[in-house]
Amino acid sequence: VSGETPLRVGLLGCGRIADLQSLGYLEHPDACIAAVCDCDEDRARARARAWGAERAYTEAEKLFADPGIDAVEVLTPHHLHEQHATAALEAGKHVSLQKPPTRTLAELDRVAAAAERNGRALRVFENFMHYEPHLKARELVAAGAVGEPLSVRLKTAAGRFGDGWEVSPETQAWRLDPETCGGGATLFDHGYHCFHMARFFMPVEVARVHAFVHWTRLGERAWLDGPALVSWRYAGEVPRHGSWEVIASLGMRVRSDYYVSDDRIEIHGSEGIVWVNRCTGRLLEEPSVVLYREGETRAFHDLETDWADSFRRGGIDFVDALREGRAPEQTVDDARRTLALALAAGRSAAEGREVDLAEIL
Amino acid sequence: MDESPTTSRIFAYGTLAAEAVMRVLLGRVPPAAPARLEGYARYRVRGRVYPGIVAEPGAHTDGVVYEGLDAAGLALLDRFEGSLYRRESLRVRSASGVGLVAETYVVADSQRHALSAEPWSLERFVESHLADYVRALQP
Repeated sequence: VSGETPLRVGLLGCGRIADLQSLGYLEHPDACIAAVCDCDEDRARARARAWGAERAYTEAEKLFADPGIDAVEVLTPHHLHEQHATAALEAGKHVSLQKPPTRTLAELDRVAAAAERNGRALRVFENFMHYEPHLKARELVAAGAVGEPLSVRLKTAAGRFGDGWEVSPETQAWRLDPETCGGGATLFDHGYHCFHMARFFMPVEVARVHAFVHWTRLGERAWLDGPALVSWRYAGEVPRHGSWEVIASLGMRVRSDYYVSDDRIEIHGSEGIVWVNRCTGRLLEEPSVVLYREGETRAFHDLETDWADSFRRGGIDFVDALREGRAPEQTVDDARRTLALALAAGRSAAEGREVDLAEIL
Repeated sequence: MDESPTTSRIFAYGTLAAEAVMRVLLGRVPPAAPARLEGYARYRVRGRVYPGIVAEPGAHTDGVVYEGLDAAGLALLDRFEGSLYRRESLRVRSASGVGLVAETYVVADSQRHALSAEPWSLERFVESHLADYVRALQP
């Protein structure tokens, strides 16, 4: 990709998350959304108008065959990720693949092989890693502000439906169907974010994982996998642990401009603690990042806390990576480890035992 | 999720997949999770509101795995299911793609004639028949 012409992006899948996924491409001076594709023609046309895209398709193959597209952003349901990403790569496009990249490691490996075979870039997009409060917390931990990091604790509060984003019934349907989602909407879909955060702040990888999951049937093929409690142990001689708890507080109002859930993170070290008090929602009116050390508390107020900003940053990173010929923030190898962690948690819940990541990888 | 031989995992694809039915039969609903059985198709039993499954290449049946049934619970379900079915240990796939062996009530070979060609839906059963069905089960 040269710097002479803008990177021409094609967005495949114009559902809810496309509203945010488009932000980086719209803002970057060296990129544009040249085409969109969605099986709903009206939606595709509306998005094309909104984003200034010249072409709107209803068939993915036509988007892949478009010579005026350099890169494809894959935003389709998870069970279609392998098929769509592979076809785009085979057509010579760079690909940004929404998390979770695929339902299995074998699917991801086949997509990665297509990227290698065609000499095209493949990045997996996970937005929590671009959220400024998370970046600040990681910077503090890496700088030794909490001493030796010993524990990462995440808590997700799922709130009352209907208070945040309007999500179409079709989107809810595929996400709540384990076959099309690839697992549970909580542990696998949202979990990809949280499992990535489990790795994001620590200098070592997760070695073992255990999960309790309560499944609730919402319809014949609709299931919600929450509440849930996942715990893990990191590799290495230093004893480090982490946990992620999902509370299905479906009667609670979670203030949010997006999905009605919020995530809080606590990174506890040998000499201090960092809290990240918000993410997707606006559950707490607290400083987004707080550091405790040596009996003193320091709050960080000057961070961008809008969840949408993490998508904007992620889009910009992909364009910059292609322009600069460098790896994007999330490479396939990195994504593979996060996916393995999500799969290990699913296996643990299904089999009722602790799972070693080596069994999965 | 106990793997010990004193408890069993069952795969339910019909009326037992409705929690209300399990609650009446066992007095509790064991921990449940979605699962899929490949290679079996589900049809309504002729003249009945419940289904049975038979081996059919390329087909699949979605259902529920219940964990931790004790011997008494399993014996109770055996009596409830009766001679129309035989219980087999089959491999089902969990939501996370993990293979699990689960006790499954399959239509006995000698009873295949009892099946209609009509696919069966849990959603339709719950809407139209569950309340009467549970009422009839109560002592």
